[in-house]
This record gives sequence, C-alpha cells and structure tokens, in this order.
Amino acid sequence: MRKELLYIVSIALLFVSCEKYYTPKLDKVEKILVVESHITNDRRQNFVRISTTDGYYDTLSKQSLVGVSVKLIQKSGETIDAFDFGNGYFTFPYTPVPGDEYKLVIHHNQDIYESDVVKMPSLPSIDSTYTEFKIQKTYKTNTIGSPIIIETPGREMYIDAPISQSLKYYRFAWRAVLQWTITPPSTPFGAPPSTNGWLSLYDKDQGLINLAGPKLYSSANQIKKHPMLSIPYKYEVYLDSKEKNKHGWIIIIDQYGITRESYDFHNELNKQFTAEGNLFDPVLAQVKGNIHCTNDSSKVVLGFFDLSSYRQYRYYFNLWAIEDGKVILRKLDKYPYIPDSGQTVGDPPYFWEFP
Amino acid sequence: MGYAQNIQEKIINGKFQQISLEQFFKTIEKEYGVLFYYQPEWIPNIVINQDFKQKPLIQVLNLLLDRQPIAYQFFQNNSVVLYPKSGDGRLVAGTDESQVVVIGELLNEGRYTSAVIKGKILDGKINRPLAGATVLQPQTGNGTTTNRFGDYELELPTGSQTLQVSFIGFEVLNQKIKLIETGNIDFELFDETHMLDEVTISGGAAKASKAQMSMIKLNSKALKELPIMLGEKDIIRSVIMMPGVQSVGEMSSGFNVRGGNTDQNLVLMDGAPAFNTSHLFGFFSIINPDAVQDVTFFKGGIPASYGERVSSIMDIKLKDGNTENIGINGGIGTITSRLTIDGPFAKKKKSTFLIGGRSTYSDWMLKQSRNIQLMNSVAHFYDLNGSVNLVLDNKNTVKLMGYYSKDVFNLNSNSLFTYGNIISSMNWKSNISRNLISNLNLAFSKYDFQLDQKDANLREDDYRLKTGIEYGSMKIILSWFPNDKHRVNGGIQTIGNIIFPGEILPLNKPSNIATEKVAREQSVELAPFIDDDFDLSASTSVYLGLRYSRYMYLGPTTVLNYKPDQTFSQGSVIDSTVYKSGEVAHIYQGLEPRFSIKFNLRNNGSVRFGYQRIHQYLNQVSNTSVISPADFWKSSDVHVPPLISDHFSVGLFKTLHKGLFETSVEIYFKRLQNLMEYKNGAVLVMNRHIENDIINANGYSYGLELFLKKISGKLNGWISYTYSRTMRKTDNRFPEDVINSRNYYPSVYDKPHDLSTVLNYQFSRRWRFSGNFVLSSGRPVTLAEQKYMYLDRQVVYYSDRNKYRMPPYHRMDVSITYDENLRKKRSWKGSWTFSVYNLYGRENAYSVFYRKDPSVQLADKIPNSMYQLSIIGVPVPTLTYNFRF
Repeated sequence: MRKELLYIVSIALLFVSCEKYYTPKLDKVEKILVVESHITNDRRQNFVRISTTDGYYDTLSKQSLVGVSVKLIQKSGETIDAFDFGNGYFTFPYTPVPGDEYKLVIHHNQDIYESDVVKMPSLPSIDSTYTEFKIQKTYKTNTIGSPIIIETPGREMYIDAPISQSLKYYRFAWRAVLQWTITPPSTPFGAPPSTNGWLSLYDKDQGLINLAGPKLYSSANQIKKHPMLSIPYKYEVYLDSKEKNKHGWIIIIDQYGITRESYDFHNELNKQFTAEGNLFDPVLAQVKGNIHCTNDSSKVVLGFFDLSSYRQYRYYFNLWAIEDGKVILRKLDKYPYIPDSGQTVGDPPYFWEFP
Repeated sequence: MGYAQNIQEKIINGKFQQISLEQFFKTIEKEYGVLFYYQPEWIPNIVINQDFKQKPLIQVLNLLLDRQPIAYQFFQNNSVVLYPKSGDGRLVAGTDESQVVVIGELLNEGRYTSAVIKGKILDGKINRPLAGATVLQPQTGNGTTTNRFGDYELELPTGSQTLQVSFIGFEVLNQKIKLIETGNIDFELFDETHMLDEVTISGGAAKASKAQMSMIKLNSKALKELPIMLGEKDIIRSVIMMPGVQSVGEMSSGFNVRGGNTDQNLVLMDGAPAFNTSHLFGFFSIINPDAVQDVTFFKGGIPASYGERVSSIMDIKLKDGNTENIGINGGIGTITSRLTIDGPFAKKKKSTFLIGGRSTYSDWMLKQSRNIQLMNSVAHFYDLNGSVNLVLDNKNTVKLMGYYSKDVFNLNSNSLFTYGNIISSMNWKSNISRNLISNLNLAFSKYDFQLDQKDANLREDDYRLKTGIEYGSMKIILSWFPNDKHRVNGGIQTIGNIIFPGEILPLNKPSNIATEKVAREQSVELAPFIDDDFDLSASTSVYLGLRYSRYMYLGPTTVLNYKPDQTFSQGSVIDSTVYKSGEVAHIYQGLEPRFSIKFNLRNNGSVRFGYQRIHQYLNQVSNTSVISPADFWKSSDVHVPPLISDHFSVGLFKTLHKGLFETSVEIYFKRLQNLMEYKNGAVLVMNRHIENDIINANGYSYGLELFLKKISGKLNGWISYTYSRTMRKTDNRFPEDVINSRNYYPSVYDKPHDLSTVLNYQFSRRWRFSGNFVLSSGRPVTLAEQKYMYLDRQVVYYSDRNKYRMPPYHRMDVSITYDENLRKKRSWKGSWTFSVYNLYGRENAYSVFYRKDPSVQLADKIPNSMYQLSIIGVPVPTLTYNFRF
C-alpha cells in the first residue's frame, strides 16, 4: 500500500498548475474608435484622447488620428472647441462648473459621435482618514507549480466619505512619495551634509481602479472604511541601497466625484481586470460607454465621457514613528509640485515633510 | 410449431430386453434403416431393458441417452451421429441448471424448432396481474406485452435462452429458460430491488414492443461497472455517457440534453422534482445511489403524463425496502461515506422501510487544488433519505418518501453559500378493477439558497441574501386496458409554485443593511392529459398523446406597463397595474401533442418517428455558464413568455449477432421559442423587474446520435457518438435587445462532436476492470479580440458572443474492483474499489479569460494575458470500501 501511495503522489506532482497561458488564434477585425475623456473642475487635468483599438496580439500603436475635431457643449448651448495637441490628444481652455450639464461631440471621417448629456457632480470631500495594521497576502508558485503564500505586514489606509443626494460615487487615484535620507558618518572635520531623496508609487501600477459608492443593500449615509492603499513596514523593497533610510511617506489622494454611470463603467473595467474564470463566474460582459455614433447606430465606439468633480488631499504618513500611541498621519495643507523622483544634498527639498 | 426432420418421428416398436446399447443401435439400423455413426469406445457399457410402442425415435434416444456421457445429432434424414457429451453445444456453457426453467418434456428435446410459451406476469408482492408488461427475447428481438389480465403468448425458437421480463416501475427479470416444446410459465416481478448491482442501462431498442424512442432505462448493472468517481457511483454521470446527453463542464452535475439548458431537465424523485441536483460545486449529484431502484430517462418521446420541462425527464424511482429481512448497504471512501438500512416492518412483512444518508469530509481535496480560490475554500454536504412502503391490501399500496439535503461552501473567505432541498412525495397505487388502475402522486419540493456576504472591512455591512422556491403538485393517472391492443392513460396534474426571488437581511447588529424583499411570485398550472399506446398491426405500434396546459400567473403583483416604441427599461415605464392576492394577472395556455410510431423491420430492427411539443413556465435565471446554487427560478409572467419547444426525431434501432450487440441511429431537430438571454451587464439578483435585463431569443438544435453496445460477455460496454449544433438568435425590434447583430450564434452548450466509450472487463471471478473515455469539442467562448488603453491600463474588447471555441475536452477514467467474498451464504459482502479520475491528467479547459492583475492569483504571472483554467488537471485517485449485509 505504501508503494501505491508513493506512486500516486509522484504522479500528482508531475502535473503543474491548473492555470496556464492561452494563446488562441484570433481573427483580424476592423479597428474601433476609442474615446478617453476626463473633464474635471481642475483645468490642468482635463483632456480627451482619441485612438483606435489594436489587435489583441499587436503592439499598441500611438498613431495620430487625422481629421478629428472635439467639442464640449454646455446644455445652455455654449460650445467649447478643444485644442488639438496631435496624437489624438485634446484639451479645453475651459473649466466646467459642478452642477452644469455637458456633452462631448466628436467629428471623425464624416461620422459624428456624441456622448450622453452628463451633469457634473458636486465637489467631493473626505470626512476622515486613518490606518490599521494589516497583513497583505499574495501568492507565488514554487518549483513544482504549487502556490505558496507570501505575507507582508503593513498598514492599510482607509477613508470615510459622505453620501449625499447630489454625490454618492467616487473614484480615487493616489500617489505615495517615499522620502529617504542618507546620513554620512561624522568625520573629524564635522558632519558631512546628508542626502535627501524621494521616489513615487502610483495606484495605476496596482491594477484596479479605486471606486467607492454605497455598498450593496446598505442604507448608510456615509462610505465608511474604504480602503485606499497599503504601505508595508519593509520599506527596503523600494530602495536600492542599504544606506538609504526611510523618512516617511507623502500620500497624495486625488478624489473624483463621479456619476452613477461612470461608477458602473469603471466597475465593469475592474471586473475585466480581475476575471478569474472560476466556478459560477458570470458570462463576460462587453464594457460599453456613453458615447454613440449618431449617423450610424451600428458603429461601435468605445470609451467614456467622464465628467467629474475633483479635489486633492495630501497627508504625511510615517508608520515607523509613534506619536500619542498612534502612527503619524497628518493632513497637509500645501500642494506643491513634486517630481516623480530625485534627491538633494544638504537642505531637504521644498516639499519635504518631517515627522 | 413444426416437426423437425422426419427421421426424428420414425416410429419405433419392439421389445429390447437385456441387450447392450451398441446392440440396440445395430438393431435399429437393421430394422428401420437408420444409420448410427460413432466410435465404439464412446458407447457406455449399459444394458437395456425397455419396450417401445409407437414411440418416435427422438423420444427413444432422449430416454436412453439421458444422463449418459454421449449425445446425438440427426444427420441427412437417415443417420444419427453419436459423440461424447462434453462437446454438446445444446447445453448452455456455465449454466447453473438450478436457475434454468425447463419448458416441456426432456424426451422431446430437439423435436421442435419453435414453440409457444404462455402465462401471466404478476406483481410478485401482491400477486396482481400486470397489464402492459413486456416479455422480450433480446437475442432475436421477439417480444410481446401482456393484456389487461396480465396474460401473454409468445412464439420462440426452442433451446436455451434468456428472457427479459419488464414493467415500468418494476425490477427487470432476466430468466433463463430451456424451451423444448409449447408450455406455460408465469413470471413474478417485484417493484423493488435490493441488489443495485443488477441494474443495467439499455437504449430505447430494449423496449421493442412499444413505439417509445429516445428513452434510456437506467437499471444499473452498468452503473456498477462505471468507474467510481471520488468514491461513488453517480446516476447523472452515467446518463451523460449516453448519446445526446452532454456534461455542462468539468465536475458538474448539470447536464444538457440535445442542446437544452440545464434548467430544461426535470429530475423527479418518486414524482417530486429536485430543483438543484448537485452537491459540492457539482462534484456529486444529490441522488444517493444506494437508494435508487431504477431510472427512466426521456430525452425525447416524453409521454403526455409528463410536462413542465422541454428537454428531458429523469424519473428516478427510489427503493421501497427489502421485504425479506433487514439489509444494510454502505461505503467508506476518502471523500464521502454513506449508509442505507432497509427492511420489513416486524409484524407486517409486506410493508417496508428504507432510510439512508451520506456525508462528506471533502475539505482536504480542495486544499490539494492548485487554484488559489479553491485552496482557500471550504465545502461540506450531507443528505438524508427515507421511505415507507405500505401494502394496504392486495389492491392498494401507498409509498411515502422524504429527502433532505444541505450544502455549505465558500469560494473565498467572505461569501458563505448554504443551500438545501426538501423533497417529499406520496404515491398511492390502486387496482380499481381488472382493467383499470389508478396512480395518485402528491409531491412537494422546496429549495432554499442563502448567501452570507461579509464585508472585508466593515462588519456593519455584512448581509444575508435568501432566495427559494416551493413547489406542490397533485397528479392522478388512470390506466385503462380496454382490450389486448390498447393501453390508455388519462389524468390531470395540478402544479403550484411560489418563488421567493430575493430577500436581504442584516447579518449583524448594529447594521447598515436595510431589510429588503422582492415580492414573491405565485403561479398555478393545470394540465389534463390522455394517451393511447396501441399496436396498429403486427409490425406497427403507435403512441398518441395530448396534454393541454393552462398556466396562470397570480397576484399579488404589480405589473409595469412600458412604452410600446421602446425597450423595457425603467425609463420606458408608462404606469403600472396592481393585482390583488389570488387575482389572475396573466394566462398562457396551449396544446402539447405527443406522437410516436414504430415500424418493425425484419431481422430484429425497427424504425421510429416521434414529435412532441412542451411549454415550460419556470426558468432558471442565470448568467453563469454552469449551473450555480445561486441561480434562482423565474415564473413566466406578463412580460416573460413561456419557453416552447417542438421536437422531431427519427431513429433506426437494431440488434445484431443474435442480440449480442444493440445499435441505434437517431436524428433530431428541436425548435425553441422564448429563450432567456441577458442584456449586457445585466443585474439579476434582487431585481424587481427582471424583464428590463432579459432579452427574448429563439433557437434551434439538431443532431445525429449513434450508439453501439455489446450487451454481454466478459468484455462488454458501449460507444456513443453525437454530432449536434445548438444555435440562438435575438431578432428583436430594439438595438438594446440584440446580440450579434441579429445573426445566429452558438449556444454556450454547442459542442458539435461528442464521443463516449465505456468498457468493462471481468478478468476473474473476483476482479473486474472498467474504464471510460470521453472526447468532445470545446465549449464556445467569447475571447478578447482587440485591446486599447484607458486610464493608463490595458482594456480588451471582446469578440462577438461565443465566436471562438475552447480546446477539445478529453478524459479517461478507470477503476478496478476486488470482491472479497462471493459465497451466497456469507451475509457480509464487501468490495474494494480503486479508481482514478482523469487518468492521464489532461488539463481540460474549464474556462478561458483575460486578466489584467496578476496579484489576484499568482504574483509571477504576466499581466494582461489570456489564461486557461482547469479545475481537475491531475489524476484523482480514490479508494473506497463498499459493503452489504
């Protein structure tokens, strides 16, 4: 019997993971127009990008579309023409107003595409921000294909946000700036200047779009304990030198007040990103937006006219320092520009935050 | 009946006293001109003292050579060849003579080439004649049915053979006979079996005396011989091996019949429906195999007494209990264990009971998976079943059945699924007169589903979702046998359904969750029916049936009225109509004709044609590709019309090589109206007006089914092949209600090629091997066909629905069984079975999907890729000990 069991086990081990890449042969199909449009009350962020789809196995192209014009039309009738930067990138010399209604109109190759009329939500806000200890779990496969668990202790940042009749849904983007220092050892000639540097992490690197809204079947009038990001205690994974020492994080949260339609659209994107093909998963749904071809209803156009209100919040967060029995999490009231990464010798940079 | 060669009838007269056998042969040679050929050493040294007067030679030889070591054969009308008896082909090899019924006098053995047997077929329990029972000689296909008095008459070739005696609801009797000359024999059938091992699967050809087609009688010898999957035989899995029946997916108990959805199959347990037939993600079916007496499965040719579902009826008759003594069946396996006890009540031997149950300890199996979600899942189930069979008198029997099951599982740490069936029925059979039998069936079935959803971060947001259905039915069938040629059934069925589409409850206190409830749905269906099964001529049988179905959707309900020039949506509502409790909100009705005809061919074959129409008023709302416990049921209402199916089939059935092989070829075409499809991104749960998310579709299926079975021998089994297509089309007015630009597209169940083979080999008295192999086309699938960037993330655009196809599916399972003790006197009978599911570890695709974020599953995978998921990608060995005493 023991021999039989060993035999069975060894056979089972021969077979690797039950999940593998799939590269089916796909048909070549006609390209489809894609409209990515993010318009907020912060004019610096506003843009419309017009592109087309590529074949699944093709390299993503960045070909500019010729003969495209884009307009933002206020319900009152005012028309704002977009400025064409080339490569299908457009901006508006205009700041929309929360509460007003707008639609996007695009002319391309004698086709006219129009979005639904969208009312810009009221300005968003965050009620409170806090952190809790949490162990993040991820998985890797070992040499024989079996998954092994990896546990990363850290702190999860949460926010609470209000739910009102005029604004119930939010989209968040964040940037986490890790401040680091190198303090050289003292010499007989005095202390050499220290080096102060920083690097950035972005939410888009994490995959999913961070959305918040009233929870299913909940009657609560507040979004509570909505997870924002997770910061590990082990900062070393982000730094390339053991000499670099942590000096806290600057957390930048971009909060967008969005419509129900925008929430549903982005939620469908998230479902696509997280598909597992598992037992009882729903049949795949095509992600369809709010833009249509007015002269040919059979023509498909992808993307979304996203008209959202915007506000930015900044915090200084130091999970290694304890103050009054709590880790340091402090709201910042200044919003200087912070480059993606860099370092200074001597004086810290102008945006530097201290515990 | 006719005489054989004249030499046999040569009249012998004379006194043969004190002479040897050899001298006797010489005397006959001399006086009657009959030549005897033999070797002198073969002739036994015996002395004859016998006088013959007007005795035919055949009787003389039978008398003299009985119990002697030599046999004889007539040759060329003037000779007799004598030879040692060991080579006598007229004895059935290996026959246990004590089990063979000899009809006729041994003296006349070989005298006739054919003979007529007559007799009665009786219900052995109460000695009641069974009208319409069948006697069949499988080797030749000759058969007949009993008349209203239970009498039969059948002409057969003389010699040793096995007769198959059957009647719906009774255990099939295989009786060996040695037919010498015309005679009588009565058969007793019992409506229970205590030996599941004796069940066999046979195709429609076994029902040679009826026009019935597209029916499978699962009577389970082959069930025993199928590879045991995860320690248990599985009735549904064995049916899936038959032509025209396909599995929904890996490890799923749901099945598709001739292109139909899984909710188009009606699974009845003693007449009561089961609304969810699977345990443990579909790894096991809810039917305890030890409790099953027989299964009748209709994939077409559904009799008029059945309705409710358009694709198939699986009528499972559960055992009544052993009438002789207390018996115990059970099995101990690595995943499940089960126990069944049955027997008579102490003082009233004819009345019996049966009680059984199963439980699992399956979590260890999930931990072995390479899939993270399954690894982190838990799953348990148990079920209990029981029945009491009361024989009130020799005309009346009542059977009460009850079944209870509960499943608990979670597919990740935050969602706990609980579901269960409560099923019960009462069947009262009564012999009103010699030619009128009534059968009353009362059925109740309840299915409850519950989801406890825990929020990852906030306890106050935890909630419970409950859905369910309650079903009640009363059906009375009167079977009337006006004469020998007709069997008429008439009756009426009343069905009531209450559906609980959804209710939300807080799971904790305090809670942010507000209690919410979608109004329940109520409906009633009335269905009178009548049919006649009759022989039009000696070679033609006809079945004619008609069912009238009247369905009423009842209040209380609020029906929304929509603008006629817009699709159903919240934005197109004009007003609403309120119906009070019990008020009829809408009626659907229609006739359901049923027809089949059989033409017997020469050489043991027949050609059959069938047509049926069925309305289905209950549909499962599901946008998952496989059946899920969370999928709830929906009644037809004002805006959701019933599903209607028209089903045509034609088939050729034939037995070959003296019945050693059974073959069939069937072609079918099915037209379906009012299928449910779903709008893009439809939200189905807690939806008060689901018509806003449903699209009406039509479709068709067609197919060719081939079947070849070797019935007996040490090596037996079958091979079945099906070519079929199942297509859908949404030809609606509004663009929102259209899929694939109004073109036909394959259903998710469209698998054109499907091959199943089953092989059994008994290589010694104690050891037997069995294996099966399945090969089918991959399921249609919608794949990512284009990509684009949005919010700095790669997004994909999918192809037309079901445009592509997953890789082909194939799998081999094997099992080997060792029987511990074969002695009849030993009460304890045990057997060990070692089985391997998916022997060569084929990684069959359960699904293919696009995934952006690799951290969800495995951190070392590439993002933005298509993946193929296999549920069981390794061989799964199981060891089980089964016992009976």
